[in-house]
Amino acid sequence: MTTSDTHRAIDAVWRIESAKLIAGLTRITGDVGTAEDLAQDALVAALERWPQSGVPDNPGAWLMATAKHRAIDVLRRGKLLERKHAELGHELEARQESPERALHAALDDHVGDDLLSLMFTACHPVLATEARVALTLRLLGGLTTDEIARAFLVPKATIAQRIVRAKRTLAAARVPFEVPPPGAELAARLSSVLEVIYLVFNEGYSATAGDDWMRPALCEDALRLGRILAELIPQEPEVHGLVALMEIQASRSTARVGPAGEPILLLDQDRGRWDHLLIRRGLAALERAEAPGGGYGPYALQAAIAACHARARTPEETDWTRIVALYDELAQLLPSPVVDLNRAVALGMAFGPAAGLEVVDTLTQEPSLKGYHLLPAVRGDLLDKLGRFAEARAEFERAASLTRNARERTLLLERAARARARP
Amino acid sequence: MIVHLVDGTYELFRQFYGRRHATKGKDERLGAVIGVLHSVLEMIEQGATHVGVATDHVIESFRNRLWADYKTGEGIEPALLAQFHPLEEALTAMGVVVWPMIELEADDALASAAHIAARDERVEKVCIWTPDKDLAQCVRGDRVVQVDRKGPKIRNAEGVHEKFGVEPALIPDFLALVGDAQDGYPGIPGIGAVTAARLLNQYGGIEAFPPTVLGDSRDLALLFKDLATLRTDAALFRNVDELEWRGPTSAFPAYVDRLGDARLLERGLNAPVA
Repeated sequence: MTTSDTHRAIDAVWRIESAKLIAGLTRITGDVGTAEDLAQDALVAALERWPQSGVPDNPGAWLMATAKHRAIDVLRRGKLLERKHAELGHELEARQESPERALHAALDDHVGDDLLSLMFTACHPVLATEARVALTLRLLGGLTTDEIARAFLVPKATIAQRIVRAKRTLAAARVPFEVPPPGAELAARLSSVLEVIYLVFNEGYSATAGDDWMRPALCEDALRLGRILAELIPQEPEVHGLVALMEIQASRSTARVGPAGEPILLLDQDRGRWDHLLIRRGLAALERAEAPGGGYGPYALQAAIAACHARARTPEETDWTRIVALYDELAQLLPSPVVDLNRAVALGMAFGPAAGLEVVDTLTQEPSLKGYHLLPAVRGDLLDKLGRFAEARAEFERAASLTRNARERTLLLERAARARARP
Repeated sequence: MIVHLVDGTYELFRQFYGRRHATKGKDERLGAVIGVLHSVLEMIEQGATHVGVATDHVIESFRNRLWADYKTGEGIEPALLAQFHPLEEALTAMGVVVWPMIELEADDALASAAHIAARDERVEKVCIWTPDKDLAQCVRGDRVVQVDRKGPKIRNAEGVHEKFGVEPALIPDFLALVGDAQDGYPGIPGIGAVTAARLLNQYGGIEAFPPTVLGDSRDLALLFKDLATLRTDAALFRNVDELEWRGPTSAFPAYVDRLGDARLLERGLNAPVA
């Protein structure tokens, strides 16, 4: 194995193991910042030793053992160990164990609980949404500051600062490292976790800015986090709903980009290129997403809509009426002009462009959709289908001027040009 | 004369979901019914003289006995389901001919009505108002056409060929081979639209395929063809004159009162009678 092979292996191991490492260490040290430093130390040790010694058989266990030693060193150096001793005191007395052994044991227990606690901590409401996203990707996704900065097209220093401030905020607010107790708090905190994961996915799926239409690595990170979360709290229907939604959307990844990187819209995609394994996983997750009393939550509803597309072998087979009905349910749970706009698209497909346009026209006065490029894009499409080409062209041009994504702008300008060419 | 045959079930769905945005998701009890009545009156205002509307009550027909997975009424929202009967009553009160189907489907009624109407020499054109691809089999030249509000498109025989790659008479064979997810039968594995059209244009109907083409799937294909074939023998009316709209019946004002839409009465009374 060459040095660069070893580095690739370390990189892969880090992606898989870092979250567990940081989670376990956070529980011991009570501080995500310290935990991350310790985990990083273990990584540095691996980078030093593995090129000579070779990658150990169980690299995750090696990293964990190294990190544990360092944790104990740190605890010893500071007064933390004494505090820890006191905490573990009665337990230790009972077991007649050394504090080191007790710490080792504590690190091995509850890997799942630790990961979950870390997710809830990183997505804590004391943090701003963008800080939650950065921290989650860093602590749970195993991404470097540089990778996060590139993914979101912001300077590295911005992300670094965001992460440092987030850690400070968590420490200052004395956010406990725990899974919130079942009930209203868990529900609220869980929705923050789901929101962060979905934000990461969406940023990968439809890059809001830049030259690329998609950044698949972010989608994969989000999916990975979602799947882990679904294993950790299988009793929460919305977690399965989110996973189903991401699996089904991800199944179209390769089909929604053309050879030159141009976007290909859903109805124009070659459905043979959809990933049927992901679709099956998504449909299976959707089955688990039904709430005990029946009915779907917002993510599951969106997944059910995605499933309508996934089940149709051709665009004509799409059950648009069912999609309209699902959007109706979604609008009841989460009233939003964006949901209304999506519903109008489905309505247009189910019952003709005139029906869709009637609704879209009522949305043009909606203040929150003022700079939203998809409103004129949808309106243009409906007008185009109705043969009102001049109006369609103006709408496509307007949409093109509003989008920040270069690929999407090209697509919209092409549609405007096609509308111009018609009488 | 031009005869207009309307898929009432589809129209009711269209109005039900179309109105929801305006009503902020709160379904008016008979909102979709009101919508369909307005839409039929609009056709009349635009010159339609002979109109018939087909509906199906529970959407479970003889086809459910032929194929277990055939579509059922399951999943229809109660607020929508509750408007089927009132729609039939309201249209009748408005003087429009309605065919509420029970054992057959609305599609069969439209196919039968088109068949009967097309036999009459006085009929210049039959327009079937539905987006359902099953009805493409009823299209004949420029005389029987399908009006698809979804497209929006009017399809004559040429338009059907352009869309599916086969002539209207071969549509049941085509659907049998490629399947119809909405109706609930899967088609024959490995045969897509392009292959189906090629085979049908080469051999004619499924019955004429050499045995090797479908192998063991032949019987299944013939069953699906039976499912996809619309019945044209429902005795819905004898003479197209029966479809002529002669204005609302005397029951209409009371019915409109029940619906609570005064504009409907005014529009109904002012609509042109041929």
